Amino acid sequence: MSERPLQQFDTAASDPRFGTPRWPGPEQWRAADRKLLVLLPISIALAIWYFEWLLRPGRVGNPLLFAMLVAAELFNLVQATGFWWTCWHGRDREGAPPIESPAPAVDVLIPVYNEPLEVVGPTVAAAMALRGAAVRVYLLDDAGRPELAELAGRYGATYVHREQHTGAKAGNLNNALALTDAPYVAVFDCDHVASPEFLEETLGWANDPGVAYVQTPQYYANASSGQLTAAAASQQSLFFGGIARGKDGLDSMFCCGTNVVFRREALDQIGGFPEGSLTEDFSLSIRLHELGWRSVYVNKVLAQGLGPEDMASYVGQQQRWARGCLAALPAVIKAELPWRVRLQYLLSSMFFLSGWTFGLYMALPAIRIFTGAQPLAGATADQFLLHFAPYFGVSLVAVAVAGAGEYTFAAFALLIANYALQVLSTLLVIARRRGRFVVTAKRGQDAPQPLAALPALVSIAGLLSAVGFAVDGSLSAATVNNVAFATLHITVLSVGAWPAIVGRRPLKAPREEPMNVAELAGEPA
Amino acid sequence: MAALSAGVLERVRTRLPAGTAEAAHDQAVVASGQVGAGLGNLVFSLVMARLLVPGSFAQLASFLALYTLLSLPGSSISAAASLAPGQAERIRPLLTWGGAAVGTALVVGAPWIGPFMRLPVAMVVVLGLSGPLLGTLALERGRLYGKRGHGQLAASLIAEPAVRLTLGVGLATAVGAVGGALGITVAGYGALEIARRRRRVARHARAASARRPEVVAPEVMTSGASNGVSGSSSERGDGPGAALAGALLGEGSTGRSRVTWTALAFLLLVVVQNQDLLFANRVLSPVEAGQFAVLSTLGGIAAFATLTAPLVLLPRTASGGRGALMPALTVTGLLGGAALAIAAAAPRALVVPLFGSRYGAIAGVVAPYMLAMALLGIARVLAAHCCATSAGRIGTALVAASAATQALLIVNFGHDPREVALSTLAATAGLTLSLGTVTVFQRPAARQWTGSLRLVVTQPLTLALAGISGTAMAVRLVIPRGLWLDEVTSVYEAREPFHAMLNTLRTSDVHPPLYFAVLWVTIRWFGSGEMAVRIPSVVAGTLVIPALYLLAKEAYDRRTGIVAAVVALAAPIMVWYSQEARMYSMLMLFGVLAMWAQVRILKRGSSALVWVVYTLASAGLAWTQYFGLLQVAVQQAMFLVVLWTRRHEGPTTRRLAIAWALSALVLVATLVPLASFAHQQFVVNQTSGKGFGAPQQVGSAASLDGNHLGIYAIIANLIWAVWGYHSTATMALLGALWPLGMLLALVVLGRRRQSITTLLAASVVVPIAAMFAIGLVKRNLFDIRYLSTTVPLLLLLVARGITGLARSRRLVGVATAALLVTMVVGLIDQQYNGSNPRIYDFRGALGRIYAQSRPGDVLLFDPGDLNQVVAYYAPALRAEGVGSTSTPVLATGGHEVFILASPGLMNGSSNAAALDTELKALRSHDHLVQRWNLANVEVWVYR
Repeated sequence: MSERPLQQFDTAASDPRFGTPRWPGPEQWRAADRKLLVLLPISIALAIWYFEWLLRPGRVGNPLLFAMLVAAELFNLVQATGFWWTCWHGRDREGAPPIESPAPAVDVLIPVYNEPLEVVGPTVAAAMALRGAAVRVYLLDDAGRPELAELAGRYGATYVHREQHTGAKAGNLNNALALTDAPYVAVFDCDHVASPEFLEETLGWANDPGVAYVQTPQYYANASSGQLTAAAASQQSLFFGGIARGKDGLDSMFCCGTNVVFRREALDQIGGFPEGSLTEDFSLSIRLHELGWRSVYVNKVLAQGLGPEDMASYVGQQQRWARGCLAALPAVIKAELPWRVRLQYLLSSMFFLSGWTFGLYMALPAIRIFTGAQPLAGATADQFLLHFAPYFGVSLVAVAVAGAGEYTFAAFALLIANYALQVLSTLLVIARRRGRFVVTAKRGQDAPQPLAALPALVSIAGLLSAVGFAVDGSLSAATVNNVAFATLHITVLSVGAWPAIVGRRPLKAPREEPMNVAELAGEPA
Repeated sequence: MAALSAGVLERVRTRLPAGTAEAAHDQAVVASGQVGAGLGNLVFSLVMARLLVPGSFAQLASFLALYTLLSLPGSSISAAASLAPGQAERIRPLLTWGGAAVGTALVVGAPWIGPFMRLPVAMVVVLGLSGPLLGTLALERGRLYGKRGHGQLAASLIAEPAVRLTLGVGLATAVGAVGGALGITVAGYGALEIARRRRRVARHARAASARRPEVVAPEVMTSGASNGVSGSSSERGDGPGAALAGALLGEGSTGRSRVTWTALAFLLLVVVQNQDLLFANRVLSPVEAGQFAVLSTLGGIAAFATLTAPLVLLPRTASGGRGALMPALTVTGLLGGAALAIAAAAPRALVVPLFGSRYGAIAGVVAPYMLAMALLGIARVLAAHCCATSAGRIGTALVAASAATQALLIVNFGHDPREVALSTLAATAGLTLSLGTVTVFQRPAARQWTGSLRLVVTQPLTLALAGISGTAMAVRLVIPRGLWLDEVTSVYEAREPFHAMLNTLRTSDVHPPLYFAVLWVTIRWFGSGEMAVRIPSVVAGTLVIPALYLLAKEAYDRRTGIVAAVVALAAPIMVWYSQEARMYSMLMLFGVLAMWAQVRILKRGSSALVWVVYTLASAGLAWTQYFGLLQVAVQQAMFLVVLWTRRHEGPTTRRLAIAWALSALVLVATLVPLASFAHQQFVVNQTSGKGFGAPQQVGSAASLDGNHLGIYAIIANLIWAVWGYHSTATMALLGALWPLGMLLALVVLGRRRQSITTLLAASVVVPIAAMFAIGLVKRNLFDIRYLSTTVPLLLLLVARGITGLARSRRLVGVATAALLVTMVVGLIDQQYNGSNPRIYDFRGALGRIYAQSRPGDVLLFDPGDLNQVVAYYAPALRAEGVGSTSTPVLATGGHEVFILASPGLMNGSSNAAALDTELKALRSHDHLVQRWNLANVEVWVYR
């Protein structure tokens, strides 16, 4: 990125999208794969150890709670198995094939809705600087702002504005597809600044005529702008790290809507981007895979964007993803896909049901404290600990390893704190309520947004009342154990909801650089 | 007496440098007066003892005690006045009227105070008459010290016993004890009158200043010059010493500071000299307190004799004169040494004739206590030197620390007169040593090379660490519990001759010999009292704090070091084993040192000295406790891993490999004899059928699931490691908090892991895992004490967790404080909650039995292993193990049978069955008179 002529961007000096991305390199991914290799048999053994104990006859306490607990645990086991299976197939594509000669034409589409100019400007300029192909950049303005037309003109891009605003982002893209004709189409969200080598690193993979699109990571360059963005970026790193590598290995990487190059032929075959979905990229991928097209994932940060900076933006984004993916479940089930591709889509869609299990786990200690009812019987706390803790611990280690150490507690807490969002999305999908495509805001609010974290705050209040109720009574070891569980949940929820409570606060730089393994071992760091 | 001493020293004087010779002369003159006064007062007391009936003599002795009590601040006033003699005029009214006020209060309150103190009212009135005297006399004498009126001073000192022996004896003969008291008071006024006579003093001072112009202090010269006054103006208080005197009233910060620190230091020295008597009255039985009073009286003679030396030294040194220190030390050393020699040569001859045969038992302690007082005399001189130079602050701080240490030692270990005396000896020895070190560092020759050291020492961080370590030592010295079985076993083994001890260890113990060797030396030096035998653990447990700081700083940063040190300060388990006469505290110290050395080697490259530290510490680990080898193994493995990862680095790796190989070779060489030792232990124990397991296990019930080694055992050990030992019920509740451990696991998610952290974590986890595996075969071995090496490292990881997670200093402080609060709560509960299954109150039980028993009574104890404990705490009791006789022991002839049992130590059912049989027999034959339940000890009394 540093080789780019920064002077052409007004805000380049302070724009984080021009910084050096922090992304694990191939050696780190290989090391992660080796560790996963060791962890897998351990994880399998511990899962068997736990479930054999959990499902023993006589373990049933309160039947309803037991059934719910087992369902939740089995759901998570399926997810965990899918996670292992995915990560097991991690693929690293190194050394992109050379681009066919003569260099093909690429239409670069940048859909814009109402984003600020300082966000869009660098994106357009960076697109104009792409190397390796005959690039034509189109700024697809859905708001009809003259200043954007001027901006496009300044950088030599083509300004496109449509009269009818249907189909949200997908409609905007389809409109542009109709106006363009290059054999390849690159799509960047208006906040994603591409590296000049983006096409050089991706286009060669499309030499294979069966490849419909080449996806690259969605990277949040503004991770240091606040705890929430950092956590969201960390979540992204797990998906675009271990999981996306695995999906690529299983030929089932789905398109993520930005930082992607399409073969026009594939898009034309399915009639462009689906306009009826909240996650047009996900639906598009299903249809392409169904038609036999293949996908490629290049695990290298080739464009840097802006993540949500406040809780409201994050909630909006996550709800859109959750509703879109959950709504796609019937399509996944019906689609004529290879079994492993179908399973991958199922796993991705069903991930957004996890909120139900989180909610149950939080409710159990409160139920135990208030009513005395508990799901398990014939088991002491130490037995539960003995069987559950190793399973839990190794799962955490696996997540840490699969994310090459990038997945953080804050990311996990943010996910948990928004569990109700997934519950609500499920209910809305079941009720067939159509959602509206909401563009994720590119500039966050600094003020607290407690309403955006209301479900988490209500949950905290409920758990606190349970703790208070327990402490007020006689404290047995069993009660203390449930109080500790409630405290655990309160802490996780609080950490997750914290950005909404205190507002956006830039993260401080680390106090010092920790010494790494290489340093201790005397290797150059 | 004075003339004789002066004559002897006059010959010496001619051979010494001028300053030293004059200082020696002054010391000799004043010391002669002081010794003469002391002897005169002693003669007066002996005459009174013969002259008065016992009751009256006791009253006079009490009067003297009160008179002395009121005089206690005297040395402080004298010291301050010696530095600012010109201010005597100003201060005198304050002291006179203040003393008069106290005296008036005594006179007015005499009708009530007298009966309360069991003294004649008239005697209290006489005491009140002394009120205006005591402070003023000290002031005047101080003025004389400052103006070098040593002859007049000696006369004042001698005058006091002279008047007592004449007027006092006469009055006592006429009117009894009250007359004697009046004589004492009049003697004081007589001494005051001699001290107040000015003309001769002024003449002497003028002559002295004409002879010794170099003794005028710089600030005095400055002051004199600026005021345009001549030497004769000293009569008005604004001549020599006027600057110091002015400083007292705020005219110069240096002088004021010097006087203030001097007054404070001498006041604290009075505390050091006298507080043991006060504590003894509080903590000892009346009989023992009386014995200690005898000690204190004898020691007071030595202290009294050396009292003047520092006061003579003060003004000379303060005014820049040289050569005053050595004469002062010589005089003090001679007087103290003489007192010590007499006490050591014939202590019984000193005690019995003077105090009676019933105090004969204390004779054996006279010499150590006399040594303590002799050292106090030397410390006083050194403190005066510090105050007179620029080190008054540090000198005063050291005296204060010594007073605090003495108090702590007495409170914790002063269970008999000997231990109280040894506490004072330890405090005065430490004070002398530390003040001596400061004095040496002040020498011009030492200043050059101590310059950099001074820089380091005055760093806030160093001071903070010193403060933490000092506090840690204080915390470790507060020991509320007595020795338990394992400790007493250690003591008995270490009491044997060295070869016999090694043989005992080989044949009946399961531990390596290093700790026992240290204990063996300790006992030879300090005896086998509770305090003495715990010294190695206290010292190691304190040293581990700075060692842990160094490790944390080396591994991470200073902030982590401070947090780790603070956390370790109050870590209950570290405090516990710093107070136990066993090897675990030493094990922690060796573990931290070995880890520090390895981290330093890996981070900074090879250094011969650090390699030596690593090798010795690793050897120390193995020679202290066999399980220390687990950490050695982890560290060796880490070396191999690093060598492997650096294998392509050429010369650097080669050097590291060679150094490591040499170190490993030496380490193996040190372990070979240990292996032989261990093999013999193994063979003997296996042959005898005892097995090579742990000795007596305690507190296993606190690991929640008793004999079953489950996951809660791991949790219990982790809780013990951070929050200490607690009752089983508390442990059950704490153990139930394990879900919070999941939170910990989540929090570290995504944290950058450092290799140092991996090394530390491995050094914690691997030994725990190994001991868990061993514990599956021998349950008792999975216990935190055998994992002692992991405790400081675990705390370091906790500290790193805090500094790693909290980005701001304030947050680090808050998190550390929060953790510290929980640890302090844990510490208090561990130390003082009798439900702690590791507390065995044998001391309390046996002390009570001993106090209650009469000749012919019998003590039965169960289990039989307690024989050494019983012999340690109640050696005079007739005692035997329950079931050791063929028939139950019954109470006969009105005698009592005491049964002492410690169920927590009963292994197997045979002990319990024997106890049951004995109790049944006693129940059927005798009456249960009393039953006590102390911590893990039950006592039944049958008659």
